[in-house]
Amino acid sequence: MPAGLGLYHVTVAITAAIYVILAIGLNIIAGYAGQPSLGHAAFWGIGAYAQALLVTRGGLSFWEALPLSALTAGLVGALLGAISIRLREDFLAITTIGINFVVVSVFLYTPFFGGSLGIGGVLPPTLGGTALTKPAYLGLVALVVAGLAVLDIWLRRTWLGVGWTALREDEVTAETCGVDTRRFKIIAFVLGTALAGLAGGLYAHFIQFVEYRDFGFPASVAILSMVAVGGLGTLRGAVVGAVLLTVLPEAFRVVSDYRMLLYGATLVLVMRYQPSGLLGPGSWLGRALDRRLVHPPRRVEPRPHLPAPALAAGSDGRPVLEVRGVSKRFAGLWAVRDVSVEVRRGEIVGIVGPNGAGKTTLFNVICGLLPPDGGQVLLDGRPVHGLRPSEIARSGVGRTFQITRPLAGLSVLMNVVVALGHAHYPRPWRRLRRAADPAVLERAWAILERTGLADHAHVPARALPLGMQRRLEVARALALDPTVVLLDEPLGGLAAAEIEEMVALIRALRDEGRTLLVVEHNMPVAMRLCDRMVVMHYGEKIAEGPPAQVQADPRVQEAYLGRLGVR
Amino acid sequence: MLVQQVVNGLTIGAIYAVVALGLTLVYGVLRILHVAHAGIYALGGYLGVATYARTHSLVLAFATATAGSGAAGWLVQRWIYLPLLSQPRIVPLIASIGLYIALEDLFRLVAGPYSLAFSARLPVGPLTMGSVTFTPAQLLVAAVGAPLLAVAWWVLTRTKVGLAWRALADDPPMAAATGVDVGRAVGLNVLLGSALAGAAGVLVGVFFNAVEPTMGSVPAYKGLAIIVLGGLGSYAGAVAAALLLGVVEAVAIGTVGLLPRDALAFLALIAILLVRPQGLWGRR
Repeated sequence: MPAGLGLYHVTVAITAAIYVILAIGLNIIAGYAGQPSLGHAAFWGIGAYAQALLVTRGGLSFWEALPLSALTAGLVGALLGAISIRLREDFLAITTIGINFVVVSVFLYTPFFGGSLGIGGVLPPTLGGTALTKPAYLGLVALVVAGLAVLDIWLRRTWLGVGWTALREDEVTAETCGVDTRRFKIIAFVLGTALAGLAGGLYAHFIQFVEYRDFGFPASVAILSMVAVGGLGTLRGAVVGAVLLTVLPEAFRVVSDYRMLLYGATLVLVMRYQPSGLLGPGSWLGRALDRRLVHPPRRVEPRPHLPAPALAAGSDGRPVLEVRGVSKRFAGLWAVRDVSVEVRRGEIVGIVGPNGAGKTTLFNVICGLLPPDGGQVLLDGRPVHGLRPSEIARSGVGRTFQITRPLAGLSVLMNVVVALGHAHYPRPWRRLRRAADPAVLERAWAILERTGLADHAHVPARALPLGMQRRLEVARALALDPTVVLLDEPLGGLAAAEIEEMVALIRALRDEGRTLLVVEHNMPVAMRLCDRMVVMHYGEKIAEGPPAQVQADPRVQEAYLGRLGVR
Repeated sequence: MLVQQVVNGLTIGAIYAVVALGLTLVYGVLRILHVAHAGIYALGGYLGVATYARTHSLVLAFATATAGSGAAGWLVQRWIYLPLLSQPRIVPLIASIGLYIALEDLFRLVAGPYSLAFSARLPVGPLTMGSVTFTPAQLLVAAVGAPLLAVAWWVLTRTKVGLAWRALADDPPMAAATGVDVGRAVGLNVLLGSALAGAAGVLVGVFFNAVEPTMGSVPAYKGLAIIVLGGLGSYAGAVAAALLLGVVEAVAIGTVGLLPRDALAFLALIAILLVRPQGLWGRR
């Protein structure tokens, strides 16, 4: 170590490095995957206690015990991940506080964990027979930090990282893009808490005395503050935030009486004036850095010999999608009641009906967002009802939303890339492949060209006007290479010229052999567009057939115009 | 014995309820986990004890506490919460936690680290009914807490602004579209919620004869546990959960002895949420 670095500095540096590991772990959970966690210190404690017990009572060495400590914390983290699937955002946040209190009480009230005395006698680790000095230990911890930083950067670029981002931006959209959000949440919790456990193991040998007090709710708040002040969702933010908020209170020692006041005020001011953190994507510094360092992927001109879709064109009369007697009830009200629809390959089928007829509910049942209360949905003769939305999406059902649901913070290009990962998401090892490789980007650009979005590829999706958001919905659905596309009011709110473009796009999709189901309010356009129409009213199918026949049906006229004349 | 414990529990529960109702009010219109509510509550305790020391009037103590806390809460929502509403939920939460930390330290710096005695002279003596004894402080909690809850209830259910709050909690854009003045409604909401917290601060100060910088640290997170238990956003749920928690804690501690009290509340919370993810009285 350089001269002048006293033991005090080394101690502060080790503390900072351990907080960096904690912050990197929490950033995976809260930043990348977007899951609130206010109990991260519990897992730090679990790691520290596991390490202390394994070393002092289990007779393991530092090196043998460290992976086991991380594993222990990760396993408990998996439990929290499982809970996170059931609970909505704020309920989950409070539950994580609860877990922190419960874990600390277990340490405090269980003799096995040494009660209020904690566990002492955790000696510094030895390497080749000699005990590591404090500066040497700092070197070791710094190495771990460097390794984790590399791991983090790599993970961010894999399909796993892409799936997490989608999950953070919009869970429902992520599912309809083929991301099994439940699995991705659990992986984030396991990985993040395992890192906390690793930090705990390292901390136990640094402090040499493990005590419940260090791992309480205030510590969780401190770790979360580091990530938030640095910049949630960025590695640089987690690292800088952890170092800053470890060193800052030390610097405030000069004015030690005002330490906590200054600390609290720092949190308030940073959140108020740099809400995405000092180095977050939207902050002054973050934007300046991104301008210099981040280069969006260049536009790829699609090669002319791009493989044509492997779908046979034209209708062969075989049903692709069968909805058989599907019902869905909300609190006693039938939103969809005993509806059956058969859709043949290469058809454009319109689902029309007045407001509240149950059209969108039917879509939600088909794509798995709502479980049906009765009936079956078959895709290519295979039942898909009861599957996760992501499974249905991956088996070839793309959908768009009436109220557009872009992954708002991602660029238009990345919105499409997310859905292109559908083949990778379910397979653990393929998830670890790099996401935006040249082949994927080429396909993404091709889809953007086709939907007329290529000139806006790098714009954040939230900044798109409605017309383009509608096209982005279609682009995302196309990225799934779907056999069936469910379009929920794709023309809603569009200008006349945009309507013509969209109609042309929908026809082109049919012509390449895709099957389309369209909910549409605009009757003249729907009549022109659809090969066949299904009319719904109060949740029931009241008519079905070619547009002209449906239009002439008296029940349909009644549903739309009301009963004419007096009763 | 058990009845006495239930009465003691209800007293604490009533104080929890006044704090938690304010917290739910704020959550309802802003969707923010308002940790700094506990700081506003401690502020009420300090304003109350300072006023009482100078005037020896409990009425004035309550008046300054409710006014001061209400104003402080209003400033917080105007300066910190409203500008952060479009941010991820964690941003106002961290700001709120930071504010709580700063307030706690501010109280320590201004009034000293030790607890101040709040020995108010109450105009009544202990009241014994059968085997149950109501202490003067308990009677004060009943005499102040019940009307406060009733007033809040009346505002919520019988006034136009209460209707606006419920509309905002249900569907903010729709509420705004139907002519709710959002800024005014939110301001009044936080004002009332914070005033309730201030009154609760005085009640706690008198009840335990102590006002101290850290008096908010337990309500800070226990308040959150209560409103979640009640089913986030449900006003009746929050009050019911507060009373229930007060009673359960008192009875459990009375019968079992020393317990990890806070962990118990959270363990119950986790268990209940696993069975009913929407809380005891929440809607899905």
